[in-house]
Amino acid sequence: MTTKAKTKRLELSLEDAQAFAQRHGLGHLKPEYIKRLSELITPVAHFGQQVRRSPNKDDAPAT
Amino acid sequence: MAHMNSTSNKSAAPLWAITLADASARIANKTLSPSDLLEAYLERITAVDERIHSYIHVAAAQARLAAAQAGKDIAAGHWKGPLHGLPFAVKDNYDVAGMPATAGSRLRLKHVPLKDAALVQQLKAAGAVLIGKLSTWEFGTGNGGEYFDLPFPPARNPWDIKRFTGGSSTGAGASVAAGTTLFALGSDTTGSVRLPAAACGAIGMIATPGRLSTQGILPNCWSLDIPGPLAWTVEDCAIILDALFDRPPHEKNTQPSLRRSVGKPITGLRIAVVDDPGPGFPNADAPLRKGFEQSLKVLEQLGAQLTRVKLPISAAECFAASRMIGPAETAAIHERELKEQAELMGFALRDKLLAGSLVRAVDYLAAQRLRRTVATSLDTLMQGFDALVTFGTLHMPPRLGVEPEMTAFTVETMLTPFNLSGHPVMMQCNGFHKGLPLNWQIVGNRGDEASIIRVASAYEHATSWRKQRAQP
Repeated sequence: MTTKAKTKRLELSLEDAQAFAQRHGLGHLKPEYIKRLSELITPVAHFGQQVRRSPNKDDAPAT
Repeated sequence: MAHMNSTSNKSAAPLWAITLADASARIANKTLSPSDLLEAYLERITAVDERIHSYIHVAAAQARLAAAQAGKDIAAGHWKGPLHGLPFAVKDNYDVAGMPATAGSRLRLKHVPLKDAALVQQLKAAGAVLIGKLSTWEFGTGNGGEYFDLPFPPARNPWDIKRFTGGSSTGAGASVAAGTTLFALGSDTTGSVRLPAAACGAIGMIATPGRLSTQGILPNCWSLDIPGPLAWTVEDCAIILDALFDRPPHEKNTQPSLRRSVGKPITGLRIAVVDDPGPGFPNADAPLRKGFEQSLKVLEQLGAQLTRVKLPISAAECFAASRMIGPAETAAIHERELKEQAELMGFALRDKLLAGSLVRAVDYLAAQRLRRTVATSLDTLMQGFDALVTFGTLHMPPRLGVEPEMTAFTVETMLTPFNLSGHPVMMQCNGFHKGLPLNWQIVGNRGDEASIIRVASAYEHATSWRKQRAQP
């Protein structure tokens, strides 16, 4: 679903992934998990952008 | 005992292969003892479970005690109802007092709850006999793949042990299909009851949210978690749900039981047909498409009025929304484990928690807003119909461990729209292709499980698929 070009543009660098992990209390994770975190940003962002936005600001989320 | 006429004591089927309704009638009329029935299942477990790994924990001694007590009570004239003396098993993310509740995880190998999950409590109170705990993906969740890195071997599909059972209630699907239990309880977030039912040829059903308690089941996603039974026939499923539905006292004597919908004609019933997943997902595999069209013909021959409609929001978009809601909530629920014990997890759970940690709040809320839209638009669509039928999975049961096949089987489905919308839905076997089960879904209006049972049982009675049993 995602082209190589898009993947390149979206993927976090290892340094960015490490910084993200440290910022959110995950800094001690093994390097291989940090690497996986850097890869996962692509599909997560892709799915997030696939979800349509509500046209009406009053549309509250489901609970 | 209005249902006794529908059962037979002359069946040549082995005890592990008789239906719940049949077993129930035989026990009620005292031609079968709960202990003899239990022993048939324990023997079946000994015979086949080393090949399919449907169980994590078999509590034979406790089950024998419970079956013996049920036998005594029934002999003394204290028959509690249709589930009295019948064996069942639960996915290992359900709490059972005094029994390990590992949830398939190295992190919980020593976890022994003090209290039963609410549904287990209800089944025990109805006299059912718990055999043990069933295999599951770790924590009852995953990413679609199988990585052979958990403390228990993965369950295998009884129709072909090289194939996947569907997840995450892997053991529930395998056990019902192989006859290592009479019925099972699983849990569903985005398909975990219905995928194993589909891959293993069983019935799997989720009711309208709120009708079955989630108390005592390891949470996975607060917004979408829902328990559900797996059984071999539609009538069996109706009997289980009748016992489990949590009705307010003033409704107890007025709500029709689901079992009364079994065998009712469907002449004139208005049924919506969704035969297209919409953009983003492929068409169903050819055998599933053929099975679906043949099943529609059966409904037409039974007098139902079919109308082709489209889903208001595509299955792929619903799946994308579920990928925001599910992983984010799972990561929130198990944040401490990710921070402190990530290396003890299998790849699939860790991957989901890592992904959930990356979900933006804005995207999560967009998904929750879409969930409301999916619910209201499906309510509107369903207004003119008694039920809706559509594909279940879009692919045939995949080879275990072949990740692209497994992920496609789990991801590319018609399941998530109904998780998001909160409509009751049943996964039903509607044929076989080269020895593997086909499947479709029957969806009801909110609160109307009875119409699902009615349509599904009419279809089941008009076909012969329930006569085939897996021999792993």
